[in-house]
Amino acid sequence: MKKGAVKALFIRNIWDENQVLRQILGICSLLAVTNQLTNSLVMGIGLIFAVALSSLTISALRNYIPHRVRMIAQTLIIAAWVILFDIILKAVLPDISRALGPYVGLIITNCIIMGRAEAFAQMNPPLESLLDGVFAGLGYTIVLVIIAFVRELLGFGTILGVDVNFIGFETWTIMVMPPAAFFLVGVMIWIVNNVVARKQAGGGKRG
Amino acid sequence: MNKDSYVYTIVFTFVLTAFFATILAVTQAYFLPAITENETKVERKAILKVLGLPEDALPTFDEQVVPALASDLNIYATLDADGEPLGYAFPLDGQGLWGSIRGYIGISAEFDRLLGLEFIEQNETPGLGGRIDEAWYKEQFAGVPLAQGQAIAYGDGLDSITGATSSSNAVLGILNATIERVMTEHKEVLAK
Repeated sequence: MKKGAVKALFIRNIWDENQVLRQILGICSLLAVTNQLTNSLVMGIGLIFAVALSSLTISALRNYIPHRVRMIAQTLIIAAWVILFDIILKAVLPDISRALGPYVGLIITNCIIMGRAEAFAQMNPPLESLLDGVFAGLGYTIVLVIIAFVRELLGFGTILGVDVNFIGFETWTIMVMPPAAFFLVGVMIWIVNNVVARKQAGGGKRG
Repeated sequence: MNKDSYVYTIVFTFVLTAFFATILAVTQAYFLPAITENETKVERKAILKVLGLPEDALPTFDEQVVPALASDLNIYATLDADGEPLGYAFPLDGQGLWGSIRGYIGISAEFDRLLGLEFIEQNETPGLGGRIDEAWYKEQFAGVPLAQGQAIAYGDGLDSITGATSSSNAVLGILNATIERVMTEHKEVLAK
């Protein structure tokens, strides 16, 4: 791997092409899980694992997968990893498995995994694909955590389940419901797009 | 070899599927005893909890709790020193908003109040309906009085979950249906 490539991959996945804010992927799970910080962290970690391992496998097999059935093959590999993870979790860490409940299965349907497989893993070597997956998942997790922090604080008056509502603040029910995630993710996208646009415009003037 | 030929595609798909299916099957078979044991533990913990027994009674489950009926082995009782029942645990089963909800309810030996409510399986929306599994929600059902023909309803010390009306109502529906069944089918038999 070339020098600086890791850093470039990192910056691209966290900021320039952030899966949620720039590519608008993974929104469905974001709406569902971000009303509690714990759930968001767990979902983020699960996704990092799933996307990294799927990307690694798909990349390793990329020269053998026929183009016509590549999506079927990708889905199969993603599902296999997630189910494997689910079985092991149930057997080894039953408490965590119960807390995750239906999340683990939901990871299969996260479009970010398929997105990385299609856009990166199928034409890049395994190690790069693994890192790309980890960083893409990390970019998703960061957005999840920011939104969950705001939603849990305003919706429940808690952070990670700990009551921090010392001033008797009237919590907003809307923050608990999925629409709040739409508002917040919309605001975040708007801010990030503005920053990026400014940067590009400024760079244009100078250069 | 031509990667886009029909034969290659079919063989590849077949091999890939067989490979991953085998891995999953072997893993599942290997971990099955552990998974079953974990599930039994969860179920037994729920039974102890709805009967008001401490969770650390789990190792002596078979001494603490006995099947109450020969005809239905899923109904459990806890007995006092003289062998008189102190309470019964009945399985709870029904349809939630997204999937089935299973659990246990505890009912006093006099069939006049609920002792507790626990879930062993639920697939409600995490963070919304999934909060039915939080302690505060379940604990408020302990001590609720029961009367024949009178359904339990929210209000008056019994709160539903904000933003999860359907799941809250589903739980109440399942609970009332279970109590109804217990009262008509099991009360007479057990009270003897």
